[in-house]
Amino acid sequence: MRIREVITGFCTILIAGFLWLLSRNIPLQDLKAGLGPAFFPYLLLIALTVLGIIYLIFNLFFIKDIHKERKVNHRYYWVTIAISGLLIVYAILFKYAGFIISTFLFLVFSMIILKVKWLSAIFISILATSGLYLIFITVFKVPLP
Amino acid sequence: MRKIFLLILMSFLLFTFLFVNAQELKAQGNFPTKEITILCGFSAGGGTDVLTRKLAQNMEIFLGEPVLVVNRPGGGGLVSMKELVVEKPDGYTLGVLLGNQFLQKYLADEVSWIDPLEEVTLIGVFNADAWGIAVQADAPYDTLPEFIDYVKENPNIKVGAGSPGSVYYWAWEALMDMVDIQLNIVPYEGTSLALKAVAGGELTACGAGAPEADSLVRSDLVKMLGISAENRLAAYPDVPTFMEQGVDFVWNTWRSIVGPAGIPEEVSNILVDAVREAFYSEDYQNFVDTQGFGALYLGPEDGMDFYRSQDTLFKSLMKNAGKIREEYK
Amino acid sequence: MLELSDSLTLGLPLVMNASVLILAVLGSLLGILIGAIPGLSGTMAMAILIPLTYSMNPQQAFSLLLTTYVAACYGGSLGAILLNMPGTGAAIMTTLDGYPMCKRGEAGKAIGICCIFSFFGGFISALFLAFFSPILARWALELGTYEYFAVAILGLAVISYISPDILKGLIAAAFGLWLSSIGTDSISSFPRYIFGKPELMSGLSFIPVMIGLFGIGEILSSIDKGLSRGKYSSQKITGLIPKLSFLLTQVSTAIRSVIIGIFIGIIPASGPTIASVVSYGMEKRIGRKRDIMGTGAPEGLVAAETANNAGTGAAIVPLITLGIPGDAVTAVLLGALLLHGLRPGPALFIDKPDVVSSFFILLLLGNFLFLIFGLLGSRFFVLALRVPQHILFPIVVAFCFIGSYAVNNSTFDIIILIVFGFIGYIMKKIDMSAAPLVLGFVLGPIVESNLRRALVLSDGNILVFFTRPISGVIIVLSILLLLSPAILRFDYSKLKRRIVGNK
Repeated sequence: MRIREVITGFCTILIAGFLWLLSRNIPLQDLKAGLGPAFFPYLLLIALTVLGIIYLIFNLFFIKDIHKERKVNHRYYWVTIAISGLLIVYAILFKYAGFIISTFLFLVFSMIILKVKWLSAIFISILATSGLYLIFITVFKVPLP
Repeated sequence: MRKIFLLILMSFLLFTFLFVNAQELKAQGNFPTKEITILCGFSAGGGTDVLTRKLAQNMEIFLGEPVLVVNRPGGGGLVSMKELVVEKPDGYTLGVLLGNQFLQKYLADEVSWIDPLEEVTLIGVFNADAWGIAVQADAPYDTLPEFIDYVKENPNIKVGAGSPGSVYYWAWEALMDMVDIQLNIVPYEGTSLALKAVAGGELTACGAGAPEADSLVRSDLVKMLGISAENRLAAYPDVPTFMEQGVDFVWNTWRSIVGPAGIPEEVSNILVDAVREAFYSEDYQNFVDTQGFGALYLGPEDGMDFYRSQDTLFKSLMKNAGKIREEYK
Repeated sequence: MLELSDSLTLGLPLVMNASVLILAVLGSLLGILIGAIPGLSGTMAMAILIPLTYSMNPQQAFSLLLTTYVAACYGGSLGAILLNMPGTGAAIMTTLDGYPMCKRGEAGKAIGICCIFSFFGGFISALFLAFFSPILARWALELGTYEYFAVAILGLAVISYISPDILKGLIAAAFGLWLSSIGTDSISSFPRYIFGKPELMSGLSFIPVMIGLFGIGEILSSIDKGLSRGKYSSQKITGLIPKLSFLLTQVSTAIRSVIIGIFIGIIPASGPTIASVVSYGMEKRIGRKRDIMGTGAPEGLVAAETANNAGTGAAIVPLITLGIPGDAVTAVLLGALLLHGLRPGPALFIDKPDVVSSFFILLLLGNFLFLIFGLLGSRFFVLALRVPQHILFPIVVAFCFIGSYAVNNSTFDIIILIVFGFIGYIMKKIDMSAAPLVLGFVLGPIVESNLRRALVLSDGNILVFFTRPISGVIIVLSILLLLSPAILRFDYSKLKRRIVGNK
């Protein structure tokens, strides 16, 4: 039994169950067009459920934990979470504050979190932001927000 | 080394600020004082995009300010429309509205739509393409009446179209309602795929405009029974209309320029003039003729009448097919 | 009419023009760069380039677009090898063997192999296009709904081979297939899983999904493992030009992959991505080095890169002969053709043979150009490895944002990018390969709509898939492929010993 794999299998079944709930309103049969719009998602959700169950049973009973679980290095845990948060903030700012401000702020803060010296972080960020701006907006005329 | 970098950096910044300031300063005086954006709900390179960009080029000449076309594809144009209707009605943001917005308004199952009669200001209809029927080149019928007879003798004829969310699908439904025949409509992901299926023998017929079928027609793989326009197209004088063949079936897929509802009259008048001038410009007319697009111009008043007729048409079509949304039943 | 002997000479005067040639060089460099930068893709390149070509003449426009198209297909392999982030969808298979080679310190060798075999695949396929497109067109006409379905099934059958853990691969593939059902159903127009969002009506866009999984997901999991400070890699780029003896050992793989690439590429809606999947899967099934594939075997690179570039020329066959675009990129090319008053189809070969011929020449030229720039420039591309990851990754994220946004000019795609970035990160955590998910996502619509359409066409008779010869053969092949692990793993030596007796 491998804990991580068992959780994976369990989550697969859970996700499939959740998606079943979402699919309730899709009609299965459409008189004119043969198979209805629900046929394909249902088929896949059945497949997902069955695969999840097989995976779970397989790892619960048939696989012995020979390999040691990979050691997780908790030192970088907070860095990942911080960067994830920054990504979300970046996505929101990208829409409302426009490309230049959001990109500059994201670059500076993510580099500082990743322990680049703050002076060079600001320097590189300004350079990268203005470079991207010139290339995409001036040369390629991409209507970035 | 660092100094040089800083120098480059400063000049970058200076350049950017100057650029922005220059644009801000111009924003005073009469309409238009800055660039106008047209949201195009279809991808770059598609028919709507190409046509809109051509129109925009010519509007620019009239307005004296840049007219930018920005692609916001998705949901058959709905993404761009949803974005448009919440914009400030100052005339600086416009959109392209197609016939399928009426379809989405009434089609059951749709979860999101706009009402073209209420939520937009019509600036002008600038194009209408005729629908047509393409069949295999060696088929035993040459005209629509012959095809109708053939269908009546042979049940379960399969014809290609887009999905029920596309306007071409409903052209078949409208035809079936009108001449009282039964066809089995098979949805394809695009006219070109359906045309190929006709050429390859998978389908009996499919709906296609004359320009789309042209290349296959000339290589003797398919033939056009006719088109649903009132007059023959200048670029395809050999393709007859259904009216000539005695079937009064007219069907257009059209495109119009709209703004958010409530654009002040003095602004919208300028835009209406711009669209009209652009439409009648030599450049646009040449382009439309050589590309095989249908030319149709309607100003705001005629256009609104047209909108209303489309509204009734789609409402009744959906009703007959039993696909209308609950609240309109 | 375009004669066989004329197909490469008639258009020569049109191409031999300074502006056309300069644009070809520009397009090639741009294609390699955009393809190589994670986050920017060939599809995006085409989407942003096409409005710029509106004011050019057809030769100029296509010299830019076609060279960018083929070069981006090669460029995608660079990101895949150096950073484990495929620049384009077609390069997903390249990560499987390319990145392990890079980690072993063989980045130069991997890039050299990719460059040469991308050229080989692209060149042969362009030649095929030039000389046989009328024949191929007639053949493509025969392929219909049933055959598209069969090929998609073949693609699904090989998915299980590309993941180290078959069960996990299947779970990912099923999830990817399910994801493809989000959006308006293409047969009945029923909106599935839309939650009132108009942006979801056309389904999830491919680019943000792919970039999220492979770009953002990869970055997050690298951060999680702890970034290496300073110089990430100081490996020397050696063996860029492989030895002749090595090339000779790859001949059979390359030829197999070219054939698969052309065959799959011709089928509309499949294109280079599926070509590389099927080719890689086949190689892993029947190739000599199948046991070490996925751990940095050159054979894997050859199979994937030859096939996806062979798919580029082939995807143009249905476009130019019948007017049917094979994938998102060729759809843009179709738009460009129409814009210049060129309606693709058989009539184009009769009316404007010189223009058609010039396209063939440009395609061949594009392949030559990326071979030259690829081999000359790879030293510089590898410099990306020397940039500390602390600085490189934030900038790559910015590229991912621009790349996702610019295809549809939609901030909604940015949300999709982030969501799939997190999904990609979680999948990395549980050692689930993202490639089957993406491939399921690509194949899903082809499987579903063609199956349902076929059943309408055949009045519900499912046997028709087997009675049509081409689809029958492909489906039987797929079933054999699915079952073959059982057959191949069977211990023949035991059986032999029992019959012949111990020696």
